[in-house]
Parts: sequence; structure tokens; C-alpha cells
Amino acid sequence: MTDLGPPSALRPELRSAAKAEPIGLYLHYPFCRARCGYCSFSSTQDRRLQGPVLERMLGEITEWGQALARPEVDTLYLGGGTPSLLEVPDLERLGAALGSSFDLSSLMEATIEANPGTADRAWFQGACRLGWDRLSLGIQTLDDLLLERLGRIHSAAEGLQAIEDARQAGFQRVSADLMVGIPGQDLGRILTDARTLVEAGVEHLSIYLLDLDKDCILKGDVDAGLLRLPSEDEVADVFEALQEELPRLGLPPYEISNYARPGCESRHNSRYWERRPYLGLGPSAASQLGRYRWTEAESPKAWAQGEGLSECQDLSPEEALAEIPLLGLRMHRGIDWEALRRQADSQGLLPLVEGWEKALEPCVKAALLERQNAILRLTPKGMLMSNAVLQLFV
Amino acid sequence: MTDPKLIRNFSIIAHIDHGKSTLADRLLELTHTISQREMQAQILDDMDLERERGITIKAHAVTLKYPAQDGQTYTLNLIDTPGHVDFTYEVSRSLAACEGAILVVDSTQGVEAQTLANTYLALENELEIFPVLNKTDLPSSEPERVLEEIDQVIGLVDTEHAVNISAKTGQNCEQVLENIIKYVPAPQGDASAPLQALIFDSYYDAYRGVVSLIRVVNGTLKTGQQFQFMSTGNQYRADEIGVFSPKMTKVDELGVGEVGYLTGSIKQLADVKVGDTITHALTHNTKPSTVMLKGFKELQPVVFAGIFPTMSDDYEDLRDAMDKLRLNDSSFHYEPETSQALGFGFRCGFLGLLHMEIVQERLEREYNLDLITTAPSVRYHVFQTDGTQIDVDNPAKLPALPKIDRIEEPIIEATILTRPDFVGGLLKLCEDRRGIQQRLEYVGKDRVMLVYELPLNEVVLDFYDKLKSISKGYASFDYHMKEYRESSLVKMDILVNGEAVDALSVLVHTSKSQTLGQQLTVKMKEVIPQQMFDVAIQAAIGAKIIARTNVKARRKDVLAKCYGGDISRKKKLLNKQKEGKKRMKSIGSVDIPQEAFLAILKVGDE
Repeated sequence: MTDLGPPSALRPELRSAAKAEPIGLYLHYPFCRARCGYCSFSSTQDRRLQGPVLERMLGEITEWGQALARPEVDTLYLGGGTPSLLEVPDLERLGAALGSSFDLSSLMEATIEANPGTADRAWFQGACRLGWDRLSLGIQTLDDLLLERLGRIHSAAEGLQAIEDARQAGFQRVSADLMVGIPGQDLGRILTDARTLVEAGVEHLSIYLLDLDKDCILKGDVDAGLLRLPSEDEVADVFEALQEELPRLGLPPYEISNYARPGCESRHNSRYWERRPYLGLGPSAASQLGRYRWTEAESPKAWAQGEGLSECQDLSPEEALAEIPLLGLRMHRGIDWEALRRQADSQGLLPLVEGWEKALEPCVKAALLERQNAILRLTPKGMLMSNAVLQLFV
Repeated sequence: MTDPKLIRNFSIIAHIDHGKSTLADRLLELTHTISQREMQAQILDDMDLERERGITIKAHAVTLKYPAQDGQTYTLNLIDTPGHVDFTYEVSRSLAACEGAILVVDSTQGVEAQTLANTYLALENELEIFPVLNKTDLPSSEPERVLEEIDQVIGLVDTEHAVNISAKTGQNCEQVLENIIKYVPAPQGDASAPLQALIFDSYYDAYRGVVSLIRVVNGTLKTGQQFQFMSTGNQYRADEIGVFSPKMTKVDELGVGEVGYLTGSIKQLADVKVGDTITHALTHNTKPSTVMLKGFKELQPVVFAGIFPTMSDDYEDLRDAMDKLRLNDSSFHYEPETSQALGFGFRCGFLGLLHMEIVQERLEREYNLDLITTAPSVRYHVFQTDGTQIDVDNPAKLPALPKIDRIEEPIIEATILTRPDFVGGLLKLCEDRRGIQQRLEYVGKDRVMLVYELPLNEVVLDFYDKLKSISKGYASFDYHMKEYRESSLVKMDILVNGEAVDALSVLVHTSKSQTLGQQLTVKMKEVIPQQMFDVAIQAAIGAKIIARTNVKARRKDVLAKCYGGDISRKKKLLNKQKEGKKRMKSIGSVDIPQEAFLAILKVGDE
């Protein structure tokens, strides 16, 4: 038996949180064939750990299903790492465990991530047949030189081929990641890449800014002066151009980094920003149920060996309230500020909200935020400067 | 009580790193005042800051017993002095407690400006001086050349009795002791006259209250007697009298020529003034002297700056810290100040720039405070059109232009000693700083002495750092106050997004305002980080804008990365950013870092 997350005394509370509404379930599969130059996530190339990680994951699924009394799960997300390194029979075992431990009757979305360099048509077919209905592809760029610079293991052509294969295999919903700010990137090219991807049939794009905040291979090269990161202004130009171009292609933004055809937004990811409950299993996976948030041990090896949590927090009412705008403002539709006020008032926290209102004034004045009736939202400019606003809530 | 004939009171004059403390250590060892085992390098410099900077901030005194070659045992009182120009007055009082001084010069270098200034102080106090040439064990040592230089630069010093030593190896240090016996006169005084004792230093001791370091000139002071300070008339009982050997050792009395300490349950360091005279109170058994010893003056600060807590919540902590600091440093002055931009803080007065740096560093280090210090200023005499005169040490407090008739600024006379190859650069620096050349002399081989009149306000603005960089460290600098002189000065305001920031105002000479305005706004642009809106920085004189720069708004500050549900990681990143902001002062809604308040010190740096 391994340690099951937060202290067992909290079990009843967690169980009632998981009963109050359907939860999301995230599984982290930490294996990669090669580590990308920008990556600081929990991942490993040590394939000997694959067996133990899978075993613990199957065990955790069973145990958590029991602990939470087979809760209803309406979104599933299998991320990594590289989940496309899981063979179809392994996916089958995972699927079976999920089905017997959780109530999947109201499942709306099951996303699986894939690296174009490790997934072929047969794999897509297998995944699709097992019920995974949304695919997230790590395309990053359609420039082969940059792909190599990033340490990606696929070419641009393979990226496009993967989209085609996935469609052929039956995936109705395909999302692609694009990265802005790679050293040496011709920023004008990103618009072309985005168009190409939309034409190839993706209906969801995640635009990530290369951010070397932690140690990674690329950061070493940049620090050593071997590579130059584009300037903030250059990156801002591209981001703004995408803000204009993607809606024209039919993919309006719904979150700071995410664009989708209406109705094709990621429901699982949306729950993070809406502060709805989720359970995360696997190394470094994060969970939030009721007042509690916890993160599992980060190292795949330690996790496989049964190590417990790296962190568990009991969120105070103040912290929980602050997270509503902290996360909600990332969404394009903004948040209902009046509803927030009412909630705060009912908890005796109105002064907190009033403090924010005062602190937000300069942001409104600087046109980073706009207020429309009850709704407060970031402007397009505010999306790019959101830290200045969101800082007020931490 | 020691027979005055067997007492020698002396001081050591030296430039930084010329070996004063090392020689003092050797003398302590040779006289067995301190055993080898107890020896900690530079025993006299006991404040952390002093050891780190290799300088002496406070004076010290230590009593040595030396059995001389003539068979008699002498009492030698070594009175250590601070070496920096900021503390000239203290140095002069310490020297006044002595009859002689050892002039220590590094024989691989030569005479420096500071040595020169202190030697003159010693000569003014009629001390006998003999040179000691140190580091003669080094191959680059040139004692003859340096001796010649002493002759040429200082004159007046008896170079015949010079001793060549190595304080490091101890070579010939015994001879220094013998020379002290031979050439430093024994103290003269009248044991039966009313008591007169000179206070040459004081410090605060948590158990004893204020400890005064004294030198008895006439009469005798005994434990339990009532004494008074002649400058104030305040009376106390002599609770404890003693000598430093080097630990505090009680004695019953101190007589003519003796050096030691005195306590009297005195609560505030400010009540004990360096240079003051102690005499007896009028009692049945004792009669006070009616004459004060020469040379006493009340110390006036010459450099001023505002010190503000970065976070306004820390104001009370800052006040406590300053109160405590003043217990140990009576030359540090402060009074509450309110700045529109920086909120509640203190206007502080210092003896000089080093003193200011030390105070700031001690406040931050010993009391763990995050502070904003404004650019240093001097005290101006402002003559108003209504005929009144006021002193202004804070540019923000300058009266409105129409009310000012004229302004006088303090002028110093500065002496710089350097090598010929740096003269060009230093002349330019002095000219740039509105200096007026008084002397330019080649002294000895490879040495040049420059004497300049300089406005002190040009010196407090980074003059010393510039001097060091131009001369690559081969220039020494010393100054004394000369006079106040009328000058064409204007107040330059700095506006941030249209609002004048009072804490950034400076008084500048009309001829330099345009250039300085431009340089300053450019520098401010470099140090103020991009914000979420454009920030306009303007320099203005009265209503006229003379320079302008713009910090463009930041355009990208976003976490756009795939974090999944890892909200805590996101929050940590935001928190880290927020912490960085906290160290800045928010003025209007512009976050301004500490560097911006001192940008004036950095203008013209490439």
C-alpha cells in the first residue's frame, strides 16, 4: 500500500467534495524519448521505470476510486511526458481501471497528448477505439531548424502527418501547441504556421511563450550567450498579431494562451480556471478537491517507489476567494465581479474584495482591464500583461 | 598614580594599509600587554565594519607597561585615532591627549593625503613626531626615497630619528618603543591644580552607561568624587575609573598625564562631548577649574540625506534603530521628515560621506531594515528677500524662487596626492566640479600634490568614487572646510509622470543644470523598470522643463505556459515577481527602485 495523498482524516471531506459535482481526472505519464531543451517538467527517459509507474498508477486509480466512493468524472486528461509512448495494451489496462473505479457515465471529454514523433496511425486508431476523443499534439513550430534547436524528435512534416493520421484514425478534436519566442524564430513565420495548422484541421491552438524560468538545456545556452531570446517587444508583436489573426481563421481566444473554434474549447483545462475540482495522479500531478490542494512527488522514480506528496495545502477562505479572479481572469469571458462580491460578503470577506477594487484601478486606467456591467475582464493588451493584474491576488 | 616622568602618551598616524594596526599589535605583544594566544589580528579595530574595511571608526586607548633599556618601567598610553577625513575633529582631540606621534609610512608607497592632514593636525597640537618606515622587508621598499618625501612634503618632522621596521615580521619594533621613551616628552602638569581632564572619546556600554575616555592634564580624579562637564555644567559621580590594559581594569585614581576611562551612570552618549573638559564639582573637598582646555567645539554635521523605510510599516522600527544607533554615535543626527513621495522618514546629518555610508550600512545590517536613502546634500545658507537668513540642508525645502535673494554654499579646501600620470584626469575632474586650483606641486619623485577649492556639494556627489577610478586607486584625498561663498544655484526638480518627486530634487549650479538634467533623466530611465504604462521622466527648473525621457510601457508580462492544474507553481512565480516589486517605492503608481534616488551620483558614468 502506498500513501494516498492527503491525510486519511480528510477522506470524508474529500469524498463529499467529489460527490458535490463531477470531477476532472488528470493522469501524468512522465516518460519521454528525449528531453526537450525548454522543458522543466517532471519527465524521464529511464524506460525501466515504465512498468513500476504504470503499476502504481493502476493501483492509485483503484484506491482513489474507492476512497472517493467511485465519483463521477466528466473530463479526463492523459498528459506528460509523452503519453503516446504508452502501448495500446497499456492504454487498455488504464481504460479498464478507470472504468471500474470511476463513474464515467457523464464523461464529456477525454484528451490524450501525443508527440508526432512517437505516434503512428495504428496508435491513433487504438487510442480512439478506447474512447480517447480529443488529441493534443505537441507541434511547437513548423520550422525544422527550430524543432531541432528545441530538441524535438520530429520534423514539421511529421507534425502535419500526425494531424492527418489522427483525423483518419477518427479523432474529431485535435489541438496543437505552438511556441512563440524560440531563439532564432522568424516571428512572421508563426502566423503562417498557425494558418497551416488550421487548414490542416486543428480546431484548437495553444500558444505558449517560451519561458525559461527554471533550469533547462536551452536556458544554459542562452545564459552562455550562444542563443539570443527575442525581445519582449518582438514577442509582444507576434502575440498581438495572433490575437488578431486567429479569430479571423475562426479560432477566437477563450483563455490567455488558448484559441478554439466555438464549442471546441478544452473542457478539462477550463475547469482549472473555473476552480472546479480535479484529481491528478502521477508524478508531480496536482489535485484540488474541496479546500485542499496537493501535488504528488515530482521525481518519477520516487513516485514509482511509492513516495507521497511534495506539498499539501489547506486553502483559507481568503486564498480560495482570491483564486477566483486569479484564475478566472485568464478566461476571455472574464469573471462576474458582482457574484464575487456577493460570495465575499456571505463569507465576511467584502473588505478583501474592496481592497482589490482599489488596487485594480491603475490597471483599469492603463487599459489592461475592462468592466462591462458585472463582468470584469482583461483586455487583449491586458492578456499580455496579465501578471501585473494577477499579482494582486497572490 | 604613576610619576608623570615615566608616562608617554602617543598616537600612530598612518594611511589605510600602511600598517598602523599591525604595528599596534606588535607593540602590544612586545610589552606583554596581550599574550600571543589572545592575539587576534588588529586587536584595536573591534567593530565588524572596522575590520572589514580595514579602518578605524572609533578611537581607542590602551595602556602598555614597558621596561626600557634604561632600567625603568614606563607607562605608555597608545591612543588610536580614526583615520578618515570625516572624523577630523575626533582625530584632533585624540592627538590633543598625546605628547607625541609616530608617523607610519609604507616604505614601498609614500606619503598620502590623509597622512599629511593628520600630521598637520599633530603639529597644530604641538606633538613631537618621528617617522617609522614600515614594510622594509619587502623588495620594493625604498626607505630613503620615502624619507626624502616626508622631508619635502611635510617638512617640520624630525626625520633624523626615523626607524625602519617591518611590523609584519616584528623586525626593529623594539626600537620604536625606545624612540617613544627618548623622543616623546613626558606629560607636564600640576598635580595640585584643580582637575582638568580632556575627553577624547566616549562610547555606550550596556552595563556602565556612557564610558568616557579621558586624559588628565592637571589635578587628580578619584573614584567616588563628584565631577562635571564644563560645556554643560552637568554633574555626576565618578562610579568607576580605570585603564585599558587592554581589558578594562579599575584603578582608584588617575593623575597628571594618565589616560583611562571614567563612568558615571550617564544615560545618553550625547551628554558626553568629545573635546569637553572634565573638572571637579564644587564640594567640601574639591574645587572646580574655571578654565576649559583649548579646542572644544560642538560637532556640526556637513552631509545630509533622507532615510526612509521602503515599507512604511517599518517606520517605527527605523526610529528605534536610529535611537539605538545614536547611543553609540553622537555625531549622527536625525529628525523626522515627511516626504510627499516617500512618506515618513528621517532627515539625517552626518560628518561626511563615509560616516553616512557606515550609518546606512549599520541600519540595514544590524537592524535588518530595507531603506531608501536620498542623494546626499550639504547645508546652504539661504538669504531671503525679506532680509532673513535660513539654513537649508534639504533641496525640497528651498523657499520659492522669488523669495530667495542669494544662496551661499560651503567650500572646502581639498588636497590630493597622486602620481604624475593621473594629474590630467584629476585636473579635469576638479574643473568639472567647479574647482579652483590653489597649488599644483611635484613633490619628490613621482608624486604630485594638488590643492583645490571645491564646493562641498560637488564633492558629496560621487567625487570620491570618480577620483578613485580616474587614478586607479593611486590618489589620496583629504579636505577641510574653508568658508561659505555665494553661488548661482538653482533647484532642479524631477517629475515622474508629471508629478514632482520631492525626494529627487537637487540643488545644482546654473552652469551645469542643462547637462545634469539631461544626464539625470537618461540615468533614471535606465534604472526605473518598465511599468504597465509609459512613464515620463522630466527635469525642471521652476516651471521650465529642461530635459525629458520616457520609460516605455512594458508589453509582455504573462505566464503563458502549460502548467496543467499546478496552480501553486503559478502562484509561486507571481509571488516572486511581487516580492521584487516590494523592494521598490511606489510613487503615484510608478514603482521606483532605490537606485533611482541615487541616480544623481551615477550620472556621466559610462
